[in-house]
Amino acid sequence: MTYSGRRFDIKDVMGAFEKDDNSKIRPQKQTAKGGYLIDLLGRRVSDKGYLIDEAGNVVDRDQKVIFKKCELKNGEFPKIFSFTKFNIKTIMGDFDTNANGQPQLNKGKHGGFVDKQKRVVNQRGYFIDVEGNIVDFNGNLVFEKVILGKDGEIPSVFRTGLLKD
Amino acid sequence: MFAKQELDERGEVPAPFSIERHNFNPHNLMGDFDYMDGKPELMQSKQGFFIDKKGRRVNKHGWMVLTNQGHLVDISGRKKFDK
Repeated sequence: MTYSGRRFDIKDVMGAFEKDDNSKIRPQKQTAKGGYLIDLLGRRVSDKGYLIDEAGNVVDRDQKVIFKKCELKNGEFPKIFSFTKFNIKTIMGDFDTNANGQPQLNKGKHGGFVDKQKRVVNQRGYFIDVEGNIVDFNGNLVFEKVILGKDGEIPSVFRTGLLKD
Repeated sequence: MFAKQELDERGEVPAPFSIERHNFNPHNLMGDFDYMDGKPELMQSKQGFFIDKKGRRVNKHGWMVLTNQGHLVDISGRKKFDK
């Protein structure tokens, strides 16, 4: 699934390659137009073997963006399945919500927000580190800031009941 | 790798490891094929099983599988997905 929870076939984002004796893919180099990597069908690919567009976003056969470049880690996109376990409580602070479901948070001493137990959270009530990344209650990094919404919200696939908790 | 106190009440490892555990590169699970019109050409053994160019068992989608079990494996033969 994508971060928005849309299902896709992983083979639709994979290039077609010859492989070497160690079964590693062998992308070719497009020499005429800037030296980027291509697959057997001449499509632009990343060094990990995914179809990409000019901006480096992972795309499917129809050039539809499946994962943005900024969402990749070491060139890999997250593999999210319906059986992926995720418990949102591990990243959620302790707070009440108003009638609209919005978290009721207190202001921290140095700006920002804190929950009822004075732990630093973002405006959506998720635990964050000094850089704004979302962490769990042990301080382990869970979501990098770059994949959060403008309001600090986590990707919808993780909060819409699509995954196992 | 993880101290007992780092696991949650269900014994689950802490995030992000619990989320990223399924990350992999799909090319490491895909057999080695020739391509016709962009589609892999699966071969068949004498017994009728799908195999790749190196004679490894694959399923009808081209993913390498553990013989007689159907679990998906990577190029090192490590099981990556239960059938």
